[in-house]
Amino acid sequence: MKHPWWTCDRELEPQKNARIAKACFIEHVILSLCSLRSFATNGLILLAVITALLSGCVAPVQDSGYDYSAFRSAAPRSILIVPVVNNSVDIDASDYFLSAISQPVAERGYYVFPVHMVKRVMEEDGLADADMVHSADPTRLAALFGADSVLYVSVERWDAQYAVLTTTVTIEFNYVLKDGHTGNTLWETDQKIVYQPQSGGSGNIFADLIIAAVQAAATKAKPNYMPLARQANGYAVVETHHGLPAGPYRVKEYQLDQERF
Amino acid sequence: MARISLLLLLGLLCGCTSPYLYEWGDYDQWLYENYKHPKDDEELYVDLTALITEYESRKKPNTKPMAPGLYAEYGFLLMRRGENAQAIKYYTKEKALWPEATVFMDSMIQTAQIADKASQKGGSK
Repeated sequence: MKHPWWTCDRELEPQKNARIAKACFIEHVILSLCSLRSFATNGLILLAVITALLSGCVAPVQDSGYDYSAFRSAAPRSILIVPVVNNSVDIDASDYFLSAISQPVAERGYYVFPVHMVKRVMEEDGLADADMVHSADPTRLAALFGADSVLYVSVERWDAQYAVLTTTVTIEFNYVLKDGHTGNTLWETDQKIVYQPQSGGSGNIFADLIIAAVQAAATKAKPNYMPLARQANGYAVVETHHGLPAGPYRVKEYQLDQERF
Repeated sequence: MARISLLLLLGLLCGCTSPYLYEWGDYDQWLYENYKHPKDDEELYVDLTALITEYESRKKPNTKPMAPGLYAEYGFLLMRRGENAQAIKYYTKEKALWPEATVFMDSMIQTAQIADKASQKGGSK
């Protein structure tokens, strides 16, 4: 069974912040110990400074995240996903990516136009080149299909380096959602993920799934990019403070998820 | 064939507990295969036909709605095979299920109607 990445409520950012805060704390403890010995005379002032530094570090860094005001006021119901622009070395990556984007976005509660059909219709209308589509006027594209918004995705990096012990897959992509009526940007996010799992099972199902996905993507003979592409898109749309707020078809969350987005 | 039915069975079993809002089949994987080995959408047509035929034959009334875009994709593949009347049927289904698709589906229905008339004229000559 496929793991539905976009339905899980993992709060990625706070985790990251907690890690940064912890590293920061250790660094300052070491620094303060060294400083205390040599500047014992200025003990009180130093102690105050250290306390300030420490408290600044340990308090969870508040991630303000993306400003959703334009998105909230436009409140799009439908999303036209146009062919993906590929800036990576893997020349096939853009179409692979197009395969894996509809489902996570639609499951967030939006009407997503049929990506393959849209691609074919555009090809027939002389818009075969994804770069050309991305530079076209979003309001004209949206009007052609009657779409509320247009989603532009570009693959910046998609490298799979296969090695026996440390297989590494680096994925970097960019998502921009534009208003179909005004052309204004409603949402955007950048994702860079470096997968470098240790080989061998960890016993943790989640970690093992990722290992399997990375190995599948990095297999020389028959690489399968789909599991990682699914996962990457899934993260991009659900990530707290950076993802896509629930759409009208996610009835229970629609316009009630301001805490997360 | 056995593999396909096993997948279908697994899919059906997962359907009971799946958190997905919609019926997808293996849409993403089918598209991926289609882009990996382009054969003029032939495999995609076969897969979508199987999914939609199976979906429409279900007796359970509480099945999930067909995912956004899938009826339209199917209609488009039918249209490209010259089955314009069938294409219109699925464009209409997409529109009924997803009002957001109305503008796009209306223009596709119009195109299919014109193509249908042209082919009927061609056939009578």
